[in-house]
Amino acid sequence: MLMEWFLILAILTGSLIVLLMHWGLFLLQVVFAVVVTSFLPTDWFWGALIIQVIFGLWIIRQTFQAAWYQYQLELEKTQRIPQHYTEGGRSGIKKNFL
Amino acid sequence: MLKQFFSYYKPHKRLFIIDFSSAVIVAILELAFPIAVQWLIDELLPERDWNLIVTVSILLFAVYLLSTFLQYVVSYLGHKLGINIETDMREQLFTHVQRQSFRFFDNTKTGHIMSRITNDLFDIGELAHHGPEDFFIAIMTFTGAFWIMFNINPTLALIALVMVPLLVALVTYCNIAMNKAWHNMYHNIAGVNARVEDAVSGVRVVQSFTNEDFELERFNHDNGLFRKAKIKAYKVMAGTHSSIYMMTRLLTVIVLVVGAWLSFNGDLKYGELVSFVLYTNVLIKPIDKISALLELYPKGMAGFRRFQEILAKEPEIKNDPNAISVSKLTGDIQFNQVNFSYDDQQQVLENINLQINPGETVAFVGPSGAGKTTICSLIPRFYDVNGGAITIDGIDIRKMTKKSLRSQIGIVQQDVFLFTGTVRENIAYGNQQATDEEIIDAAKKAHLDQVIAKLPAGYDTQIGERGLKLSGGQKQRLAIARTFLKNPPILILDEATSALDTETERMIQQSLDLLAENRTTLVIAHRLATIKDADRVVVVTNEGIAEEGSYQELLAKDGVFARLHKIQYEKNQD
Ligand SMILES: Nc1ncnc2c1ncn2[C@@H]1O[C@H](COP(=O)(O)OP(=O)(O)OP(=O)(O)O)[C@@H](O)[C@H]1O
Ligand SMILES: [Mg+2]
Repeated sequence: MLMEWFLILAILTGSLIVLLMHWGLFLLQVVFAVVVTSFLPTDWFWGALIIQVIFGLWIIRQTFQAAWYQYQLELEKTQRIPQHYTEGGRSGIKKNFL
Repeated sequence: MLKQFFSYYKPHKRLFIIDFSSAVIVAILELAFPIAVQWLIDELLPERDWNLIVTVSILLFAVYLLSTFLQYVVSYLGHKLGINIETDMREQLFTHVQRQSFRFFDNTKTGHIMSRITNDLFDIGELAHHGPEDFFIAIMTFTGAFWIMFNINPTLALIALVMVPLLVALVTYCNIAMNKAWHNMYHNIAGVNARVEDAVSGVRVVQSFTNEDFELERFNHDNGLFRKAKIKAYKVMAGTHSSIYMMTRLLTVIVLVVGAWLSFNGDLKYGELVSFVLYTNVLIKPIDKISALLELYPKGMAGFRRFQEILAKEPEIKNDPNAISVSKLTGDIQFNQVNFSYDDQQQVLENINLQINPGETVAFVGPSGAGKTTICSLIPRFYDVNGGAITIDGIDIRKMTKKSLRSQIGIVQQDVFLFTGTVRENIAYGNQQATDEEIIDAAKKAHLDQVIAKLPAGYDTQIGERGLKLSGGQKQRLAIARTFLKNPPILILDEATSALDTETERMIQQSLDLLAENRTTLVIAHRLATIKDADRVVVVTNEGIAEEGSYQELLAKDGVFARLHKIQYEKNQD
């Protein structure tokens, strides 16, 4: 049962990483999930779960920051604040938002 | 900041509780429906009891009716909550802005304040309504649906959950494509806007060169670019919608196939399979809501932050805790070593000493920008002095309440502001309690009655921003009428720089003379002819008060004033 909870957390965190478009980190998350569910000794499981929770919270924080950045871009593009990220016709879209 | 945000819910606690609990019940019913279906298929169908099935269906329908009603409540009361909070904030903001001092308005653009009061608050209202509710409901339905699915069959539930990142990936990718398309569009609309602005502000040039066709051609080019960009954006939008639709259906199909396979192996009942498929739809709905919230949250919160920034600005000029409310001043005004600057950089007034006796008419003359208007704005405390003191009747003006001080001073400003409304309302601005007779009397004294008689609806003619435009001279007389109604013991006249025709000027002069009777009057004059009768003339230059004395005395002195006089006199000769 605990294992399933871990997997749920991992999948949801993975979803947010996808939202932030960081493929390296996404791969890390997938590998971490696979290692924990398949190879890790059960004694270590709690540690893995805690790491997953902390990592998830950090990703949530990053998501909020990305949302703020997105809003910043919108303001700039609708000429409501001076151009900063979109100066010189740049679209301001980043490769990832971490 | 969140805590402060939520404090605005307090007056509407009941509304919030009703709205929120209705939303929760709707979500629970939404979650319960697939269970009911499962029960119907797995338990009731095999028994082939038609009556029972009809009864259950009727019950289900009743529950749906309840859910419909609650959804109506959520949509209606939820928005009501939002607009209530928005209205409270708007009122608070407006009150606060009205309390601000002149310096605040010197440094803040009107458009800026307008957008705080309208757009920002609109976003805040949306967040106030959708934020807590949607967030809670989304989390609740998502976990609820998943938990139930997990209890039906963990494997299938995890398979459905794995589809979530894929869905998110698709949404993200589509968003980027949309963003790029919108970016192009904004870029192009900016081009169109600039073109229109140019063509309209430069219309006189355009027409005098008869270049209308050329302008149209350029405009059509930009307009065409904008059209192309917008069409592309729509194409991306259509693609986004259809691919997200496809993805959700794909999820259903996958669940169906895996579920069928599990069911062959005896791990899943038919009803469970059906409810599972129904739950996949419940599961993905919150994703939409969360992504909408991710957009709404920064918007609303940034708006709220700006809202608080303005509220945090204390009005610069405040009543002293021990301020007294003065009544009927005589107008014995004294400047003691007054220093003043607008911005700490450039000292506008330095060490000004001045004595104005009750009932006296004092004229201020001097070059433009010397500080005449500034001296007069210090008396009603539109700005506070940086050093020294101003007293009226021996009392420091900072020891009087703002309201009582300003009620004793009448000002006819360089540029008269008219409010949208009728002529009557605009005159009555000087004294809201004035009767019609008093208003007509004031208009007569200001020589405005003949002008009003010629207006289409007399005193009820609409003027101001969206009404009849009055001429400069008429506006000034209206301002004089206002001041007659206010009837203050101290009067400040800041004469308009723009020249009026001699006839109008003579009329205004007459009404001003009438207005100045029995009052302490400060006149800022640009035409020396208008101050011949002043008791005293004060010559203000960039260095401060250069000369003081009666008109004739100053002429005889052959100083700054005599020079000014000579220049104007020669001009008139031309
Ligand atoms: N609201 C303001 N903020 C900052 N500086 C100001 C403000 N109003 C006036 N000033 C500056 O203060 C100085 C005095 O201006 P003031 O309006 O008192 O001149 P004035 O003698 O009335 O001129 P005029 O004859 O043109 O009406 C000028 O240098 C002006 O630039
Ligand atoms: Mg002035």
